[in-house]
Amino acid sequence: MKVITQYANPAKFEQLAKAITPFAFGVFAVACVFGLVIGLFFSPEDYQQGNSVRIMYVHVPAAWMAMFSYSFLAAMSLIAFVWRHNVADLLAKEAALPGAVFTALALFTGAVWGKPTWGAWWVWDARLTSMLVLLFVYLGYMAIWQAVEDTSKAARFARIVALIGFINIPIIKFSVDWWNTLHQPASIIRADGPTIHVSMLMPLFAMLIAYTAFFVWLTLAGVRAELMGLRAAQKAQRAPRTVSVKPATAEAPHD
Amino acid sequence: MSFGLTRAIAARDLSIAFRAGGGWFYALMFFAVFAAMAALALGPGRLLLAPAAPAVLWLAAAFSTQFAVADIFEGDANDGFLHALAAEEESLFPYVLAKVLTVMATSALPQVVAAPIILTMYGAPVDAVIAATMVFLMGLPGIMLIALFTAALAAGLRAGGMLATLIAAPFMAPVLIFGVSAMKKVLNGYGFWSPEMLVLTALSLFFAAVIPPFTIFVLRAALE
Repeated sequence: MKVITQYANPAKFEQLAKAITPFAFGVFAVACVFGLVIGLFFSPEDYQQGNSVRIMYVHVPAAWMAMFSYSFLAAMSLIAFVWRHNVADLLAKEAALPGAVFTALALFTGAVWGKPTWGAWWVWDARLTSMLVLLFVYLGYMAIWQAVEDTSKAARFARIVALIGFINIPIIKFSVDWWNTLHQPASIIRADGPTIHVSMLMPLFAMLIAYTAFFVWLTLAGVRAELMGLRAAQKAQRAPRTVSVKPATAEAPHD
Repeated sequence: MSFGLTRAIAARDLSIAFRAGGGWFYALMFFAVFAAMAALALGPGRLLLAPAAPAVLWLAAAFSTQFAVADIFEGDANDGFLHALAAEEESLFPYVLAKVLTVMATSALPQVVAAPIILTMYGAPVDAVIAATMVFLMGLPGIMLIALFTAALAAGLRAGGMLATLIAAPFMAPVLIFGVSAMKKVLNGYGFWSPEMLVLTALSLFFAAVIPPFTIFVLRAALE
């Protein structure tokens, strides 16, 4: 509880964010280069899918992060809802864009992978469809922030939309699964251990770390920018009004 | 909580809706027009129309309910009635309940009455039409409540109507999926209480439990 309430103080949060941001960027850069180089050049081809399996290193972390980002967004919204926590509102707001981009990236890379593998750019399969719906949920959430001018009011709307979305996403997932399924079952988190060889798993995890660090970096940088903007606005309000007093031109010096 | 308030507000809204120019039939008309347009787009062949009937019916219901409900809180929010109510009353639940009743009477009920006619026109088997309408009746509360929640959002936004529809759409997806498949089961003679039907009923109950408090939160936020 104390951890949550103490970071409601923007100055305190900014200190933390300032410390984490460069670190997150460093982790992102290293893990991304490592994961991409190993994944794209040094990992083996799949015996069935050939080189197109390499899309996995971009696709799977994107899909994971799409769901993680929404969970984060919803958790922050819950914190904001319970404690009226302004920084949590900003965190949720700034997490939405990366989340939406991850979702779109997962859909796009899925389509690129689907063409050679399934023979179609798009199929109305359960996972694709629920990711598409998730993208719409993200966009609706972002639209709320855009549509309401008053920030504190926008925040209150956005919290509720995020929470109701979080309740609904498992239901949507369940119903779309019922509707149709063609996608292969999960092959990494399984009771009997992963079915992917270590040579492929290593770059995959590197990419997952890279994506997570990228998300942290982007979200914190966004919140810092928001807080700076707020501070600038407040400063402008507090500043003494400087009315430019020009000597009237009519009163020319007499002498 | 006073349910006298519910009765008074529902009576007022209904008398406004049913007076000349009140437009209670707009939702029904949209429902019928959508079904007709869909038939025009699909073509007159029975082979295509009959299997498409449940899909058309649920889509028509989703859109006509959404549009009918879109501005339901707007009048009360704009003329200060809702502000006074929120200041006076302990809870806005009786008010939201009154709105639910109004939507049921002006939008849901006419659609339920029209559903068997549209199903018959689409060539659904006549002996299954009443059961299919019961499926429709069981799923409609979910759609109605989601529309109501987004209407509360729209009350606090500029140009909220379109945005409300965009936000409502993904949340209506489960009702659409299970509504259509439960209705298909009934029309193809697999019996009424299919698993899909049970899930559809569960969805309606779930939304009935979850949506009213969220709607009240949103209304209170919109008033600030």
